[in-house]
This record gives sequence, C-alpha cells and structure tokens, in this order.
Amino acid sequence: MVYGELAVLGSETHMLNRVSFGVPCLPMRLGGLLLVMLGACGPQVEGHAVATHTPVDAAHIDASQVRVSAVAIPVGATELGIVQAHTVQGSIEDAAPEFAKQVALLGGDFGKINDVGTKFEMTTRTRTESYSCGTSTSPRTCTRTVTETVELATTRIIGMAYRMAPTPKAPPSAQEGSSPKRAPIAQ
Amino acid sequence: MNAKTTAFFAYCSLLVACGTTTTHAVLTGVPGAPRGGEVQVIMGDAPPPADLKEVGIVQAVGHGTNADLEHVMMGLKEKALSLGCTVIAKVKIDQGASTASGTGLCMRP
Repeated sequence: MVYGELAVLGSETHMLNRVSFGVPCLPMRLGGLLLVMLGACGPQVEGHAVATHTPVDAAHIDASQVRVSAVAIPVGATELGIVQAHTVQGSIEDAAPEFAKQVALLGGDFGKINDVGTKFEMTTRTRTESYSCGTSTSPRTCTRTVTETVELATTRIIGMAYRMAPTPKAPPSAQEGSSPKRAPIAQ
Repeated sequence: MNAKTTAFFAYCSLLVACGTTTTHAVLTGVPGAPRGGEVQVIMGDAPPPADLKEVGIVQAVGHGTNADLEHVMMGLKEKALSLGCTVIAKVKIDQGASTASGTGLCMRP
C-alpha cells in the first residue's frame, strides 16, 4: 500500500500527536519539521465493490444520486453486492463519498452501511529532510535521515449496494389532453 | 535561562499537553436544531429505537492525551447534540496507542 500520495492534507494538530521523533528534541527546527511532515501525510481513500447478484441493468448511476442509510433498506430494493471504502489517516467524511461511488459502480442507487470501524497499526518509516545548519552570516542547508514511528488509523465503512424499486408511474389519464384535476388540499 | 532553553521547555510542555479531539459527521438524514441536555448511548449491536429518525453517522477521534474513552464519548455526544440528536446508537470504540476513535448512529425524534 502506498501512503505517499495525498488526497487531502491532514491537519497540524493530528501530526503533533501521532509522530514520535527518532531525533533529539530540537525545538528550534520544529517549524521546518512540521512542514516536512505535513507534506508526507494525509488521508488516502480507497474503495472496493464485489457483485453478489447480476445487476438489473448496466446503467451507471451518478454517485451523487446514491442514498445512504445505516438503518433500513427500502422495500423492494434489489441487492447488488458488497461495498467497502476505507481511508488511512482520514475520517468517515473522507470514506463516505467513496462508499457512494462504489455503490454507483455496481449500478446501485442505495447503500446500506453495515459497519463502521477503525483499526490502528504502528509503522516505522525513514525519510530524508533538509534543515538550516549555517549561521546568519553564512547560511547553509544540511540533510539528515529521520526514522519515525507513526500510528496509522484506518477507518472503514462496509455495507451493501442496492437498486431501489422503480417508482410506480401514475396511471394514464382517461382523457388525454384535458386539464389535470387537482387533488383537494386539506385546510 | 536563555532563549534556546525557554524554547526547549515550551516545546516539551506542548508535547506533554498535546491532546485534541476532532469530530466528524456524514449525514444520511435531516439534522435537527442544535440542542442541549443528555444524549442516550446505545452500544454495539443493540437495535436503535424504531420511532426515531436517522440523521447520520458521527465519529469522534481523540489524539494524544485525549485518546481515551472519556474524550471520545464526549466528542460523540457534542457532535450528536449539534445535529439535534437525542440518541447515538450502534456505538463502537476503537482504541489505538495514541489515537482512539468512536463511531455511532445519530438519531432524533
């Protein structure tokens, strides 16, 4: 899994808590260090879908049309498959659009969320960073290798994709072309 | 105490006091007006009350010194209240070494 590519930049407060430095406490260089860290971390989002039933048709649904619920499935909805979206160093707000996208890819217009959970793992990674090491009269830039241990949080949304039953069409009017009757409005 | 030492202690105290809680929500229904008071918490797989409307999924993530049950539950309740919810159902807490995450289903009358 590649963690280098950024979808959205993480917030600075997150980074202060997740990283333990493999270098001595260097308060004067904290600013530069934070900038490097912010560039290296951010939520990564990925999604998967597996069809469990033959789709009703191959029509693609736009992800913005997908309705999502964590409680109930609409009456008459047809099951299409299993859908999962997960984000590393992100939140449910990052994973939810991917969940809807995967539902749409199966031809679904309704997603039922069955479970939301977060798992944590510690990883050690090494990177090279540069810092100012000269004096005010003769500024210089040095590089060093930093090994850091980072706790990565993976938040996952898993559920099912459905195609909702088509809305029944109104029966054709007996007198085509005549002005439609209005339903009485309750006072 | 010179400037470098002062900066060192300021940095170390920042690390010691570092604790944040972030909250998130994904709306699957219509939220209500923000409210105060208590929020009922229903853990795990217990079924949510049938007479309530679904508002969305809420998440609270505690970092550093806030990576514990108390702060995560507080974050979930505050987020639920801001969405007008009276119940958080299907609550699940996941604990890491320096991060804790809680999720739940926010519901209102």
